[in-house]
Amino acid sequence: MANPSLLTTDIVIEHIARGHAFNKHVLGYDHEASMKGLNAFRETESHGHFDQKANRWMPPQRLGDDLCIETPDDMADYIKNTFLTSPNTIGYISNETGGVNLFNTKDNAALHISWNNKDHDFGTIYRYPSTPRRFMLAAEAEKDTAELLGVPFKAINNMDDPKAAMEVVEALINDINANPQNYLFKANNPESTVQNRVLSNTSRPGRDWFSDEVLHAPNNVKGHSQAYAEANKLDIAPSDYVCIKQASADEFNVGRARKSLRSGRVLNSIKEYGLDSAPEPAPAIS
Amino acid sequence: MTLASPTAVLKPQITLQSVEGDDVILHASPEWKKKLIAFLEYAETTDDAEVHAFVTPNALNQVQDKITPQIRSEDDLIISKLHLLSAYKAFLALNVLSPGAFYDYPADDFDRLHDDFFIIYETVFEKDTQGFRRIKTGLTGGFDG
Repeated sequence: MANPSLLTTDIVIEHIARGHAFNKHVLGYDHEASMKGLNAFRETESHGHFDQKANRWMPPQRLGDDLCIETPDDMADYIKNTFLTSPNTIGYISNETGGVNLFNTKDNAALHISWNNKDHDFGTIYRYPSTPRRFMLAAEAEKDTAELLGVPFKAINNMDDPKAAMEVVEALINDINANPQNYLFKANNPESTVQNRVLSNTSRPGRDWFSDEVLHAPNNVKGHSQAYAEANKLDIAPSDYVCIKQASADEFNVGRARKSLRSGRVLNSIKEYGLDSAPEPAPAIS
Repeated sequence: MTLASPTAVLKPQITLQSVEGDDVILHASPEWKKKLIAFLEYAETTDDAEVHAFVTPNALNQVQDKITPQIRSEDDLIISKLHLLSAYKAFLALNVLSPGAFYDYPADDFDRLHDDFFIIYETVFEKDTQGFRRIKTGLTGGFDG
């Protein structure tokens, strides 16, 4: 059985798949107008729109092929079984943080595994029309940084080594587990480790583990969409396909029900008798 | 690539004077030094988690610390090449946004500083950013209709 205080690749991927990236890039809660309301991993073009500030029409631009990602589990499966293992995945390691930055040239998607990001969800995955050029320029700038610091630039290319991307991700996670003192959110607080922050029962994206409360219903949905399952030939019965909208509504209702159960008289009753207590026997009729 | 607004500041405001060892000597008015610090602060504190995949808040804070004592002076602005790279990465991270998406930083200031730092980066590091510019003027604007 896995040690519950240790990070694993699956935990990291699940956080990214259920974290802010899902809201922003799958559900379309993006501040950028050309991506607003748009699933960046299903649409093949950004929105054409009129930008008031620029006073001009912004034409739609190419995003990439339809990757059929609709649910958090679709995203996690894509990251683990396609993105990280694809021969088209390249990238580099950040000099300052050791974060892993990857780009898939076929899908035009970028994945950043940054252990200390503000949302505490280990990073992000996205694609914008400018992602290919932007990623290459970022890699070039990191190379310049390494040269100035006199340290080797750590490039990643799955074409040269099919396990390259997965190995650097696992190496980062192993080092976080082995040397938690090197990965502190606050330099002066030895308790602010990644493990304490992420495995503390309170911070899983989509859910508050401590009270088992659904915080963001769509991020908490379990299962694969029909589109993703069929495109990737997953062994899933059609009856188990998930419609993200329906499943989100169900999760939302589950969350409300749990909240309701924890309130007032019901909560006191649970506290007093426990959830598994047998109901009081009805008084015998004399 | 998005284009700048019709009110864009067309003339460069921060320019490269020279490179001396690991330092970069820039020319900037106190007003544009302030605008640069405001941008670095914006990039440091933004809740857009994706910015910090490119450059950390700590690195941005260090650039601010370097510029702040020089803010009132009309003299040149001296930063290290590492500071230049940190600022450049912040502009790179945020150039995904079109002008209308800048809701708490002036888009015109961003566009001007973005292009100035791209030009300075290209010169100092002898790199080609393939015309990655926000403000396109005259023929460089091309036809995008």
